[in-house]
Amino acid sequence: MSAKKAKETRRKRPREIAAAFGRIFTANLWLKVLALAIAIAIYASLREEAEAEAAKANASAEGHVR
Amino acid sequence: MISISAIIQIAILYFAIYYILKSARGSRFGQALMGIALLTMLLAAFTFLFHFHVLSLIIKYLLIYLAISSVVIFQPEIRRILATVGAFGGRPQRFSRREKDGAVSAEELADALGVLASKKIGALLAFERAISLRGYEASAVGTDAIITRELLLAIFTPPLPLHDGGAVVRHGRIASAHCIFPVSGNPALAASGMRHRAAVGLSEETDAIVVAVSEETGSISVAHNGKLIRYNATDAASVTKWISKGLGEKKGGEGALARMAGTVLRRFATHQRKSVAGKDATAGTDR
Repeated sequence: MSAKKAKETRRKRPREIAAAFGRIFTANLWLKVLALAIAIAIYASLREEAEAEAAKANASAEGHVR
Repeated sequence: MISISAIIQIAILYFAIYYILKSARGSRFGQALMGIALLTMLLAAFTFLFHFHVLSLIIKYLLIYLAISSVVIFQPEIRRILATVGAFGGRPQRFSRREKDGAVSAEELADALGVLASKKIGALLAFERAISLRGYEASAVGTDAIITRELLLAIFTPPLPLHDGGAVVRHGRIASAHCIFPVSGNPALAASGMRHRAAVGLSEETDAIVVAVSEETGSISVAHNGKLIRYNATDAASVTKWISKGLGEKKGGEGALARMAGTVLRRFATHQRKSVAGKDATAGTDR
């Protein structure tokens, strides 16, 4: 490989990597957005209940120890 | 304030939901899942905004019953998703490794299928990918043979003993013939024959690419992810493309990054070796 070609390849590679990452990010974008929205919705709806359960379990464990 | 724990939990939920949605995409289950997800989100937002607690509770209970009933309704699709999760990490087969064993190329195979189509000999060929098809080979006849035009004719020509059922292609070879594939219950295939229904049925349950040659019309159809695409005799290039994908000849987009990373790492290693060698040489001359 000539020095010029090698230099060109070196210059091109970061751009190719960035393009590949861009492709991965933008592929199925709406599906990713939907999945994130569902995940946040599930987390938000179950958080309080889960925290209450955990607090109850903690209180019961503490009571048991005492 | 969002804690790190919350971010991690949401991220885990996101990956799980995204993977399920992605695996189910294109199937009936996927469409239903997408519909349920959108509807539930809209209703949840509506009840949350207007503080309709009773409606919110009804939606909550409805979702529980829907989840239970969907397991029964979409059993084949769920089985396929679970099989895909089970095959996670199992890469689709690559063909180049198998060429040494005398396996044919996609063009030759498409040509052989074209011969079957022109003679109006029905055929059903399933290309195994990441999900194993061994479960469908219980009643099959093991062949493990190189694919040739003559062999395909010998297998699928009636009334020869192996002509009934499908053949499984694994590692570019015909692993077995006379296999019984699951028949799809898709109402859209009401006008299709059992061969095409079996092709779709197998593609609903696995990630296999199934090629069916019609003995009535002489057309070649490809079933993938529960969808059937029919091709005419003039569409040999499209069929070749599918066969190539089935055999693993085509390099996927996801693999491109891995290949690129491999190249970068190799170049880095070479550069390191050269610089170490250069330093050694300099040290040698210093001495």
